[in-house]
Amino acid sequence: MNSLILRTTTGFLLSLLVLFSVYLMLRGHNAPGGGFIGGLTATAALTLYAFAFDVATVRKMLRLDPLSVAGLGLVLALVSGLPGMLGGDAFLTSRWALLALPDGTEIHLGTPLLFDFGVYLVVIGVGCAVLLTMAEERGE
Amino acid sequence: MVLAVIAPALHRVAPEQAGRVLALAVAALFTLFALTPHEAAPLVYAWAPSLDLHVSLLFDGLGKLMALIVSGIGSLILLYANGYLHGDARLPRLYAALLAFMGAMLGVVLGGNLLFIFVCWELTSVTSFILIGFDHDRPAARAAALQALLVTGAGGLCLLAGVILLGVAGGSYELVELAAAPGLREHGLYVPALLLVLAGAFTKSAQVPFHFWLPGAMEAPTPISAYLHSATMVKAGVVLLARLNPALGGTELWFGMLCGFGGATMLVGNLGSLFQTDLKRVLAYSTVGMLGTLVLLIGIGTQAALAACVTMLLAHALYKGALFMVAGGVDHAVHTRDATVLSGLGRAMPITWAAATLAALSCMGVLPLLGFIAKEKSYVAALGAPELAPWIVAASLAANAAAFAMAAIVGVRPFLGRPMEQSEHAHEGSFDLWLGPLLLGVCSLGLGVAAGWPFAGLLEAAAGSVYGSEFEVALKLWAGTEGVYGQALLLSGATVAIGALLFALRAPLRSLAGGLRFAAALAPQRVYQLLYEGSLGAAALLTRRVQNGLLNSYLRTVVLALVGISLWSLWRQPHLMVSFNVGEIRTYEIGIVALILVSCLVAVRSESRMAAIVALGVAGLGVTLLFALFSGPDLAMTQIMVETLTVLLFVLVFYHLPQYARLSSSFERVRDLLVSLIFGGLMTLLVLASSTDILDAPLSEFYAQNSLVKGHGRNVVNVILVDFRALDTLGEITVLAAAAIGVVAMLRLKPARKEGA
Amino acid sequence: MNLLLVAPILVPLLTAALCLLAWKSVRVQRWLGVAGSAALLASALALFAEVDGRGMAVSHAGEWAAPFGITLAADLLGALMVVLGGIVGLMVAVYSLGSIDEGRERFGFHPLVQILLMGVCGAFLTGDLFNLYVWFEVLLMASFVLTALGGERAQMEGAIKYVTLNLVSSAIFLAALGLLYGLTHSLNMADVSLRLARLNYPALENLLAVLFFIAFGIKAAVFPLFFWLPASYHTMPVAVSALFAGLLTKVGVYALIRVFTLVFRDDVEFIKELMLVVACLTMAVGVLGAVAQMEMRRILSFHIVSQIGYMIIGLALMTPLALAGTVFYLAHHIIVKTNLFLVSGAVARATGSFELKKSGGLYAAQPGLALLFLIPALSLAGIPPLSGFWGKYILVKAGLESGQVVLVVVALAVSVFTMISMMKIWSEAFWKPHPLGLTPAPVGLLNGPIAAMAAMTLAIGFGVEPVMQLAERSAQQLLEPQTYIRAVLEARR
Repeated sequence: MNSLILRTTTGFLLSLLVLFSVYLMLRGHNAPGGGFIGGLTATAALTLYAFAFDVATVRKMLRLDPLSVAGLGLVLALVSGLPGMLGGDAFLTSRWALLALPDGTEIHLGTPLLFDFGVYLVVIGVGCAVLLTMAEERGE
Repeated sequence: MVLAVIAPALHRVAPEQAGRVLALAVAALFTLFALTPHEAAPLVYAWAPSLDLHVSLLFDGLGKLMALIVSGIGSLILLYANGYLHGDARLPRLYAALLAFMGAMLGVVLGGNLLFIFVCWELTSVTSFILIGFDHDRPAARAAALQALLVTGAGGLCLLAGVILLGVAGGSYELVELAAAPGLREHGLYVPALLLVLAGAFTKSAQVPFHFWLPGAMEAPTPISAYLHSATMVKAGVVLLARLNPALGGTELWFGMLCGFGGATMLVGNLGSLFQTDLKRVLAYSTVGMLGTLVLLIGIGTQAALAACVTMLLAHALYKGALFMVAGGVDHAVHTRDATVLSGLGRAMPITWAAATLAALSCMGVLPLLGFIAKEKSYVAALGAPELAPWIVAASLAANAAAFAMAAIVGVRPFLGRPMEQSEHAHEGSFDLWLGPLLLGVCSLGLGVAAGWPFAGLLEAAAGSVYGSEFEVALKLWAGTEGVYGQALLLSGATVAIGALLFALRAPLRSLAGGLRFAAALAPQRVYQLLYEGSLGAAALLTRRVQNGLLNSYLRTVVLALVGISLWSLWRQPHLMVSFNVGEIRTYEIGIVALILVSCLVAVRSESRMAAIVALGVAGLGVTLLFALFSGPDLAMTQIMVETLTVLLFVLVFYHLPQYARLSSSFERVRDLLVSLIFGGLMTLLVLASSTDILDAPLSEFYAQNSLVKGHGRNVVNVILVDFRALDTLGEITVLAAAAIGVVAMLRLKPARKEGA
Repeated sequence: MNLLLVAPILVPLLTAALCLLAWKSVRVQRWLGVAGSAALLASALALFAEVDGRGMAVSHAGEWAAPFGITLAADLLGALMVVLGGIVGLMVAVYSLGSIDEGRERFGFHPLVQILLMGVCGAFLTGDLFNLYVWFEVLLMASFVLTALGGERAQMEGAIKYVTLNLVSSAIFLAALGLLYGLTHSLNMADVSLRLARLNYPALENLLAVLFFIAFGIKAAVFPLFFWLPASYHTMPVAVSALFAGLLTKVGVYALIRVFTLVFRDDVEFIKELMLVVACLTMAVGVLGAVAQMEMRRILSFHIVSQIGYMIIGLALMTPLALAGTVFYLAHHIIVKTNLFLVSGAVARATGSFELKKSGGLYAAQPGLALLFLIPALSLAGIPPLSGFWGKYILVKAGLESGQVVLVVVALAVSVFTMISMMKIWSEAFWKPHPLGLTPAPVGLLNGPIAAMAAMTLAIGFGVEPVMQLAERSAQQLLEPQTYIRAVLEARR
């Protein structure tokens, strides 16, 4: 698939889709969405990019091996459970901070969001690991 | 004391050339035992009180006597082994095993706690196994070792059960307490416990019909045969019976079992020995016979019998150990043990000859050796048996006469007569080889002449500990001619006469009894073979049927098990309430269900594996849709992801496997269909039966109420995933990561080479 | 307490995650694997010390009180199992350094082992049925990939059987869970137990118990559900099968113990009868399978099945002594069986084959290894004073006290056959001269973990008293589930 149109649009789409996936993840706590869906969206975007260019480009873009991304996600999810323990509570006890923006809106930031971000990364890592490897094997 | 028992085992790391040093060390142990006065009360150390296991040592008369035999002969054997296997690289291992055995055996003879005795008992079996298989390059040695282990091991397990039952019935494993336990003989468990214990003792002490392993064990090098399979280990069963006599003896059953099996063994062993030609096998059969005699004497259980028993025990250990070592010495010198060939070795091996003569005379029961006293006592005991006395006397006479002939064959004949061809090369063995038999022979003589001194007191104490209380044992070389003593003397005369006759007739006897011997002596051996091979064959057959390698038969079995056990459960508790109230059904629900059903059908009918997997995937998707409708889309997404990856892995694994083929017949397909339908029906029934609303449902309410307040989120499902039940999610994403590793590895890692470990 | 309970789960997870981050470097992963396993063992020991002192440790993840959140709870049995898991993990990690090929190492061997350990520890510690299912999934996925890792043809066949039957188990578990949830509206084991008692509906309860029994029975490899085990264990690398042999079936046994002492307690008679039949058949069929084999790993695999039968005896009898016997046997078996698999690897390395007919000559060449084989082998065959004897003794005694003659006869006969097949290995691989006259090759590093585990076997054998006391206390806890239930449901604030 060596189409110029696809390449140009994809370059643009990628950033948009990734942005959207982060948004999905962040709003998951209040509306449909969350780490899983966000991660899947981002994976889809990256896969599309791989179709348009090639797998090597995506791998380079990720910097880490996809499985390492998943590993990072696991670490984040794990770490998100720890702050609560500092206060003597059990693992995964949530801690929330209220971030008041200058314009008056309040944002709830908490460890569950970090956890969801971990999920997000794991899904991306897993998805990319599977899809990119399959793409490469087919190419050979 | 405890150290003395454990020390031999600690000696394991034996340097080369250490035989003499070790022998000295064990001799020192012997001296220690000899100098320690015996006492009736046990020394108790806790090992595992919660299992009623104590290391209690009973250094009473019997214990001391046996400890002296074990350590005394043990030290001579170590010396002997040093000469017999001189320069053999395996010598250190032999020492280690011998010493380990010695430690275990001391535990058996000194133990005062049945469980502790059992522990040591099994250890002697294992060390015996290792020692019989010492020449492990030869298949015959390996087979003999296994046979001995299985027979004694199976007996050991009976013993274990018997010991536990005794513990339950008598409330303790301590021999002293068992002997004092009231009503043990009337207890309901007495009979099974006794029979099980006897099974253990009889296998260990090679009683008919379990005797066959002992001649087989002659595959071991001579020092081992002399020590384990004549002087010590095989006595373990006898010792156990002697130990239990105060607690269990004196009943009809006890008398009948011991006299019956003991008498039979005595006859089979002693007469059987005459039919053998290999010196070691001759001796082995004679040992079997002697063990029978000892069991018989314990069975009779009178004071006279027990006195005879302990005297016989000592006399036998002395002369049989010596005869074995002599046989080994002869073998070492002329490289044959064939009794029909050996002759005229006396000139070349004078010291061995002297030792052999002394031992043989003791075995024959000739005045003035210890064997004579023992034999006289056994005749007295037989004459005084409470029941069946004439039969016992007759059997004893036959057995002793045979023993006489046997002793002549082994201890006298090889040294007399015309020198055989090989005797030119014959030479006296080293000091190590002749010291042992000579010393034992001299002991037989000395103890006889001195009428048991300095052992008289000990034998009395030993007989006392078997009987349960002390009594006087008159140990005299010449007991006079009055009453039973006169009769016994007469019987001795008859023994000599018949024995001499048997010896003269040995050649015709051997040929005449060829067929008979095979039937009588080897029949149990055949039974063992049949049992062993039969059970292996049956096992192979069963396993091929059960573990047949067909996945679908495995699955069918699993499902049938589920259905079967469920029906069993229903049969026990049939009161199942089934409600058909399923509420309102919506059109798209029907649609999804139809989709699932159709894809299942496609999966079943499909000819290609790939299509089947895809169809199953669709079915999974349908289930996921149901999830999405009832619980929430987020959960469904997780489900889809897991589902997809699983299908993918499946495909990848199948990729490596051959094409799909229809292997099943139509009958099998119908059967499988039936099984599936029953299974489906059962599950439906269960679903209908479980949808009761008896209990409140606090969980969903709690989640709904607390999601926003405490979970800071309006999306309940997401809050469940990342907060309420985040630990589950953590697990699930780990599953995802593992699956991804699997996919990558499966795609990339090709089988390279066959690897070993 | 919170940290102690969760650490045995988090330590392997963190190790696995770090291994993934170091995906390209096999060297780093190796050392991570060993260090992580050591840390796991340390954390397990710390947890055990805590539980040993207090009797129970409970932690509600996220501080959501039971039954709303997920409760982690460790009684003595759970803590003991975690320690054993840690021991096996460490031993296998060290052993694998010298035995796993680089291909497998490059494709995730180390993180997979850690994920497996995480699943195992999670299963031992959770007090929540759905969470238990999740841990089962974790260890199923990790073990499935480990089974198939390498891509050899025989492995694939084994893997298919393994995964199919285990997926069936998962499906039945999930179905049972769904039904149970529909009935009781709760997932917390302690809560479900109370609710079932309130419900008083024995017919349905027993049917659900059957489903759970089948699901866990497949995992535990009892008759007639064990097929996956002998079909797959001989196809994978030794380090993997040793890990599986030590832990996987035991998770199933643990789950059976947990569920049938804590959750389903109304119709105990039914469970006892069921278990009695199952225990006898499992012991017998397993051991007969073993004596029919001539390949070392196959022999050992069938013996696992047979010995699972021994462990079920405790559940079948439900007396304090019998349950203590089961706990004791579990501890003994995990160490001995793992070790025997490790030995089989060393034997194959030395003689070039797992097939007994093609190996030999080890006794003469490597008496040290021979001794190291004898210790676990004789222990498995139940020779005193090694650990296996005590387990057998306790169970036989418990059986005799309960008057279960058939059970005892089967158990004792099985131990004769166990002896036969152990001695077959000994006779063929060690005593017999090598058929090709080869001199066995040295096995080097592999002896380390083998010797360590043999030492543990000896320690359990000679120091039987403290282990037995532990087993008795643990059985006491299992027979008095009220303590567990109270500890879990008592709100801490």
